Amino acid sequence: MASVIQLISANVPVPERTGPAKAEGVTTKVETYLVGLQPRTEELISGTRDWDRKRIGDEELDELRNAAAARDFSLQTRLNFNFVSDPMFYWQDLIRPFIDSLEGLDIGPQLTRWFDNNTFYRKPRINAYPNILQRKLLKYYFEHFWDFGKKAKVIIPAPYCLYCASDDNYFPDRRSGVLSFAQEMERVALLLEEKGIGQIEFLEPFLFFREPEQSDIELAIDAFNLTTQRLKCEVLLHFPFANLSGHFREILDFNASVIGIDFFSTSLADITDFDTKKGLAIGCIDGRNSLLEDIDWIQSFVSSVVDRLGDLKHLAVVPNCDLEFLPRSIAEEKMNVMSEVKKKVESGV
Amino acid sequence: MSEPFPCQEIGSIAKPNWRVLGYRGAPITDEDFSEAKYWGRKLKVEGYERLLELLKSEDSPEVREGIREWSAIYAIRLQESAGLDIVFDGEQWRTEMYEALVREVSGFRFVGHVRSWDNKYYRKASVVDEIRWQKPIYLSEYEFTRAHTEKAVKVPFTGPYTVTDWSFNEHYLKQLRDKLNDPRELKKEAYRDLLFEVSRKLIRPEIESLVSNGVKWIQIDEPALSTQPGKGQISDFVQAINEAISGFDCKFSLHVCYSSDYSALFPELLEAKKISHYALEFANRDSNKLGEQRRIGYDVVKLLGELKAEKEIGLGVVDVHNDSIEPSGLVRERILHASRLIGNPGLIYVNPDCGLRTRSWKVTYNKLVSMSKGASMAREALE
Repeated sequence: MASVIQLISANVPVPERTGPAKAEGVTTKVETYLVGLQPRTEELISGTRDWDRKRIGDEELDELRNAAAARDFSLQTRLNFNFVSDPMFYWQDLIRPFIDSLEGLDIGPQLTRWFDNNTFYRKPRINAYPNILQRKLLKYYFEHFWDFGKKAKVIIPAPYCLYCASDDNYFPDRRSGVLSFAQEMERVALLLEEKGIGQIEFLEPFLFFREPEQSDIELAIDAFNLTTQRLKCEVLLHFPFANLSGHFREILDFNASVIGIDFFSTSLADITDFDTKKGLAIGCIDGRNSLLEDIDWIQSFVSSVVDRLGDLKHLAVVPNCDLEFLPRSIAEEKMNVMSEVKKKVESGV
Repeated sequence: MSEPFPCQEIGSIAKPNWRVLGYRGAPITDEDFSEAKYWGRKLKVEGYERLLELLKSEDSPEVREGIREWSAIYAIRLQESAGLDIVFDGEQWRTEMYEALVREVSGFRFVGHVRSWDNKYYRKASVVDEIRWQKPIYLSEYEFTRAHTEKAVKVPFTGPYTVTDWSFNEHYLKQLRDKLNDPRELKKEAYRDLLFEVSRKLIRPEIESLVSNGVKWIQIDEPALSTQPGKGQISDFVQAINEAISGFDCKFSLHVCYSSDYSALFPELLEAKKISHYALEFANRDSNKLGEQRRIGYDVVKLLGELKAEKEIGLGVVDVHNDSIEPSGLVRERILHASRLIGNPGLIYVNPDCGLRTRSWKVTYNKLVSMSKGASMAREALE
């Protein structure tokens, strides 16, 4: 786990402070972990193409997947990440396992763009009330993954995200649809928690990608709080691709112990009213650009965040989004950067 | 075009297996060989027997090049035979719309594969240095097509916004890193810098080489446009594309597809005044039923009518994501519906939503034939 460290401010212009003052000598813990789908290795990419062309069979593809996963688990462990996540090599996109394992959802014919990425997903159609088929969902995780116990984290879509990603042909209105998904996602979350994991991360890219209606924010909060009400593990709510400017008060109403912010979509200067009782996952490793972050720069930026917000209950340095938007080799270099940042900060350099 | 509703393709056509394997120097199957023979006869490709000989020849650089040329001829004949009025080579020379362009330009470095969807990936490049156009990229394709058809020819290629959006940006970000601390502002500014550099140093010189060699119509493909929230990106694009295309005596069309909301492009996009034609995807979002009073997929056409844009519309009437062949009657209905919305049938061109490259040649051909027939029926209805 992260040791206690002292953050050193560097030569970074610091926006006006909005949180409680940081007392001299007070220390802050910094954690590191990943926040989304991870990119496949070049070998696995080649294998999936061969599988598509029927040049290799299921077993050979599984061997490649297992080898890639073993490499990934080993890297996350060696880099001393606080949580180890399944690389999600069985997932064709964030939504697909839920189309497969939620009765009531069917796969639609259309490829739909995943926000402002050159990446697409299969949009589900809601044709009946959702009902989770647990065995089907669990096959999307590597069996070995659960051995990480409390060090393991799972990443799933928030209920509002899952609903918004779909075409609704069933529910009479949006509210009943979202809340029904929230109920079913609670069963999903409890099932995953029962496996002994330490953190559940909910991804919510839909709500703040464009400026939302107030009623949508309220609905997303109601849904999220319904899904998470009985969870005992750490709950991270991460907002990739989202500009949260002007919405920090509302974000605090989400029942999450840690909030993840994509700082390539939200300006630090726009953060006001952040509750230091909640943890903050600082998305400052760019999962959508190949340029490696300068370690001193990240350290300075984290210092700016702390100086602006005051002492936070929990502070993590994370990518702003899934690393799967990068080629594997670069993603691994970025994971190394995260580890180096942590080491540097911990050693007080 | 003298008649209303001219027909066109607006993206790539699948490369036949004999082209993919043959160009790679790999052996082709009997089935692939039969496919080449079948389409040679069906499309009445003059001298196609020479291709059959090449496919049976020992591998060599000349054989590979010959196979590639034949695939371009086949794609041209497919479009002609299906009744299209404006043709090109179906992008048979190109690996992929992004890679084919940036690999010819200095300043880009390919860094690996990124997933597009499922088990499909594309090679993505980083901009690691100043961008420098080195030589004509698409001129030889144009000259080849021009020499093999009597039809009107256009040259499609990827526009500045999409090149920017689909590239990692290292060089321009590094240049600003000492000036801007906020990651959001830094990335945004570096994005703009790259967009304008791509426009000035890649797209404009390429257009110049094409126009000075007789190209009369260039289609700018911008699938990435309209993916980001807000209007700022549209204004940036307009400014950038104006820098790229101003002053050229050439027709420019713009192809955008799979936007969540086309209306967000307007009215800002109208400020790109040299662009006289918008080729958009509509069929994908429309009902396939005949006799609909309101064809919901075509609502943005109404907006263009209201804005008095006086721009031609490349009307997507064929869905490229499924194999079902749109009945000509449905195509006719979509064309006439759009004509009523815009108020001037002379502005309507007819095309699939996007390139048909994910469809087989049989499906592609049948879809295009049905499309042309639908356009012809719409013409008759006008009379």
